[in-house]
Amino acid sequence: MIDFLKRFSAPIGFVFLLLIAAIAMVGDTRDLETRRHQLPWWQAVVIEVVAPVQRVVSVPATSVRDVINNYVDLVYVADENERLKARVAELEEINLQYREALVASGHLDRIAAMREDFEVPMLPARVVGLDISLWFRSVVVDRGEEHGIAAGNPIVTNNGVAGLVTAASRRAAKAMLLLDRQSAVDGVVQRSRTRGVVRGTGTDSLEFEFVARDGDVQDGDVIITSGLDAIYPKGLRIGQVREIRERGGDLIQTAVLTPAVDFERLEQVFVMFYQGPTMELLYGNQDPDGRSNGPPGASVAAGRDGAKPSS
Amino acid sequence: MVKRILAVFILGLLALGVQGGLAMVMPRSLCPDLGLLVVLAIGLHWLEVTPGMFVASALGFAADLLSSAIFGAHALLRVLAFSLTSLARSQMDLRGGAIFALFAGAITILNALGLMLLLRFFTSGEAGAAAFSVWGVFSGVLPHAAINACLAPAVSAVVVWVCDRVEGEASRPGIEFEARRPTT
Repeated sequence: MIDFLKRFSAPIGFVFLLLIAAIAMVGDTRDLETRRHQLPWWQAVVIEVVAPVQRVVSVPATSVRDVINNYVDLVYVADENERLKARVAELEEINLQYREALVASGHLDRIAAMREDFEVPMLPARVVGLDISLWFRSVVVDRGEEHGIAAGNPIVTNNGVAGLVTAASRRAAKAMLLLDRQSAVDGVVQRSRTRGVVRGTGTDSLEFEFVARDGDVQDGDVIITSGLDAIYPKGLRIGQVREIRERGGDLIQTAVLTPAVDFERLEQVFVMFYQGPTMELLYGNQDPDGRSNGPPGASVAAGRDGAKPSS
Repeated sequence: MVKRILAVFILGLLALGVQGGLAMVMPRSLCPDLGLLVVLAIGLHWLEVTPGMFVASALGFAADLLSSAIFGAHALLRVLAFSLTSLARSQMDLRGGAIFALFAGAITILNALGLMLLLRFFTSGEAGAAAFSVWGVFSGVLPHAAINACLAPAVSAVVVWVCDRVEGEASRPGIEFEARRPTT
C-alpha cells in the first residue's frame, strides 16, 4: 500500500489538489448567496503577513510618484489658487442666498435633522496594495478588525463611493472595488431619478443599465447610489455618464460611466461604519441600527460628494 | 526538505506582497505576476513533484485571498501551471533563459484564459458574461505576458539561490539531476 502511494503520489496529489480547489470554488460561489463570512485564522495570517510587505513596497514608491506629480502641479498652482479664491467667494455668496431662502421657508431645521441621519462614522485607511490578479479589481487597506472594520462596510473617498470591504483580518482588510466584474450597485440618475444597476466591467469605466422605457439619461448626468440595494447608503456619488449606447429596441439600455473616484490614484480611502440590511444578512449585524460603533478615533465625516438627498 | 518548502512558500508570499505593492505605482498590464513566476520556477527546479505541487497550491490559495477572484481559482491554476512545467521539463530542456522566458509568457496567457473561463463558469449572470471577451483578454495579457517572460529567468535564479541558501547546493534536486547525466 505504502509502495503504491509512493509510486503514484504525484497523480494522487494532483487529483487531490484539483478537487480541493474545485470544492473551494463551489463553496465560495455558494457563500456569495448564503454566507456569514468570518475569515478563518489561516486566511487572516496570510493577509496579515502580506499587507505589511505591500505597504513597504507601495509607500515609498507612491511617495516618489507624489513628489514628482506635486512638482509638476506646482507650476500651475498660483494661477489655480487665484481662480479658486474667486470661485469660493462666488459660491459663498450663492450659498448665503440659498440659506436665507431656506430659513425663510422654514426648511433649514428639517434638513439639519435629515443630515443627522446621513452622517456615518468613518475611518481613514491607506491603500497598501492592489489586486494581485490583472483581471480583478480589489485593494488591501491597512486597517482591520481591531479598528472596527468588518466585511460589508462601504469604502469611499471625498469624490464618491469606491467599493466594499469583503474580508477583514486583525490589522488589514480586503475591499472589492466598483470596477470589479462581480460588483453591482443600485444607482439612480441624480437629475431625473431614473433607476438602474451600475456594474463593474473590469476596465476603468462602469456601466449603468436602465430600463429604456422609463429612462431619462443624458450625457453628463451624475449617478448616485439609490440605497435600494441595502448595501450602500443612499446618495453617494458613483460616476458621470460619458456615453449612451443605443441598442435599437432593447428593453435594457446601457450608459458608460466615468467613475467619480480616480481608481488609478487610489491611495487614501474612508471606511464607513455602516452595514446595510443585505450586508447584515451576509456578514452578521454590527449594530441594531445598521451602523457599527467604530473605534473612538472614527470621525463623523460627510464625505458625500453629490449626496443630495432626494426630496 | 521541510526547510526548503517553508522558505519557498515564504518567498512566494513575499512575491505576492511585492506584486500588490508594485501594482499601486505601475500600469496594471505591466505589473508582473511574481506569484506565478515563483510557481514556474519551483516546477523547473524541483524534482520532487508532490511537495512542489502542494507548495504551488498553497501559494495559489494565498493569491486567492489577495484577489477578488473566486476562492480556489488561482489555486487550481497554480497546480496546473506547476504540473505543466514539470511535464515540459521532462520533455525538453527549459533551463536556458530564453526558452524558459518564452514558456513563462505562454503560461501567463493560458493562466489568464483559465481565470476568465473559471469566472464565466462559476459566476452566473452579467459578471460571467462580461468576463469572457477574447480580444479583451489578449489585449490586456500580451504586455503582461511579455513582462513575465522578461522576469522569469531572474525569479528562477532567486528561487534557486534561496533553495541553495536554505539546504546547501548539494541538496538541490536540480544538481542531483545534473550529476546523474552520463559524461562523455
